[in-house]
Amino acid sequence: MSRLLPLAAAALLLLAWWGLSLKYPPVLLPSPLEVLTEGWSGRAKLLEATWNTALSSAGGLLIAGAFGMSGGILFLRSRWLEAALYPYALLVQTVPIVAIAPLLVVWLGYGAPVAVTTAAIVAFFPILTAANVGLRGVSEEQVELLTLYGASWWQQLIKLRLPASLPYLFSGLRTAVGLSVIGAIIGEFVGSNGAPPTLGYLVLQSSRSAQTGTTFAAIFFATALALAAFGAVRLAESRLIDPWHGDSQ
Amino acid sequence: MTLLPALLALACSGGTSDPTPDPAILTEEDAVERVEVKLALNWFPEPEFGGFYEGVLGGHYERAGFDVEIVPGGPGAPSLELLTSGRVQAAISTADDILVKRNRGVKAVGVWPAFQLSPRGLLVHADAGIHTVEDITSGDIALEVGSPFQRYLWDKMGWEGKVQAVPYGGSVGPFLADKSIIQQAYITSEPCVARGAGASVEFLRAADSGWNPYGVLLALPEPLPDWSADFVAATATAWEAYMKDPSRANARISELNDQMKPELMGCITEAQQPFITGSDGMGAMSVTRWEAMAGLLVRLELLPAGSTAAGAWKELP
Repeated sequence: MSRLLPLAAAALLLLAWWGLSLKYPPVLLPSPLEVLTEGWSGRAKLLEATWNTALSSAGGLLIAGAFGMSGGILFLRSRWLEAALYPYALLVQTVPIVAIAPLLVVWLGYGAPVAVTTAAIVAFFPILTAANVGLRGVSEEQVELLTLYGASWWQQLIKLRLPASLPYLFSGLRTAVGLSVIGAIIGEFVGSNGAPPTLGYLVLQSSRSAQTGTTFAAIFFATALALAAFGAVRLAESRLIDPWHGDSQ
Repeated sequence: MTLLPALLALACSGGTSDPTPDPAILTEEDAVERVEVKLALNWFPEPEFGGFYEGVLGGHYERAGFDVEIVPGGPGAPSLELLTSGRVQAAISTADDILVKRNRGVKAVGVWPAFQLSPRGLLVHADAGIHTVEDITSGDIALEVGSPFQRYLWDKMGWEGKVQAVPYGGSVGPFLADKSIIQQAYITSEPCVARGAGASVEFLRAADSGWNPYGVLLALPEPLPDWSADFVAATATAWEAYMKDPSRANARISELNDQMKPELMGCITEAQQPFITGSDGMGAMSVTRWEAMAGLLVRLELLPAGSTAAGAWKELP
């Protein structure tokens, strides 16, 4: 019975949407059927756009991961560095991304680099915070034991702190992966030139020519992309750490 | 996606109008019921809307029984959607936009064009060696991606796969920073802003490429409310006043929009004049031009075959 509840909720939502679409003109709210038809007829372009947006958000996530992890390790190494730089890392999180995206176009030109950068900026902070907390999340006894055996700082990092930080890192990644999709689409709103097509560009293009069916279809593809990315992170998490730490949920 | 900007536009509308009616002219009309009209613009406050601001500032609407609040827009501003949803009572649009969106359920009628010639065009750096649209054969053009104007250009010039359309956010900053950029422009804004910033530019009129919908077109809800003719008459009077002396409205526009610096207003006022009057005179509309635009949109597959402009416009006495 409880397995059917999400399906029933989806059916009710669809019904409510369809009911509302009878009341409003398609330019304000297209019907589910219109979204489906336009999504189907434009599926080749939508899929290609989803793939390109996925690449940008994955690129951004990788960069955010590299910087976030490096930042976490640097902060672990030096409390002074942490005190000096952490406030600025916080600043990155509060950057109004919509406002700086046009500047990125000036610096990087039109194309994927803008979307990769905006994705990286929004995904950076959750990863840095997770790394910062996770790398310190070991007990004094564990550190003392390794020190006793003569393990260097780097050996302690690789053999103890990194594995121990994985649950924290994955928790940060789960937040970051959804943000990176949103970040990429915002970058595409401003910096994509439509060749190759991207989801952000398609949303802009279709809404300007009142093709709201396509706009909604593109939004659904973006949602599906974020869900798939989240699923991939969960899968990696269950493979990598569940056997060691039990279910991290 | 369509509702969000609409809500944002409404949220941003507070404090944008500052009616200072002429106190000498308060008649018994004030005793009758007044009509509240929110007028949604389709772009930032700029002199292309000067007559509407003059209508408020000079009391032209007030005297005709209207309390008008002007709601500014920006890129992708959903002025016609706001009109259809009843959140505003009047909207500024263009002839092509009305035709395309009526086909998608928008209930709007074009009643009075402030611009005979489309104020749109492309802005290029003067030393780029580009003097007509035909001279453009590659590169990026920043404009409203997906707009009928963009589709027309790409169709007419065969630019698919050669020239890329990139989003235009409304600032000339990237254009000024990069000499190779071509961008969309309104004669009432970017050419003078760019010249004011020291750039040497050329404006290629959309009308010269064959794209000439009525611009800054006042649209009212369908069916037309009974105050429509009075509103149009007040609008026409306001625009005549603005053409004689634009200083008051332009000063207000400068306050509302940082890009519209007071020292640019001379350049803009002079530049927009011929676009407003055209060859038929301010406010005129003809069936030939409306049907020509509908025909173009059918060719671009933005309207179904056989569509006409019937019902999309009405000249009010």
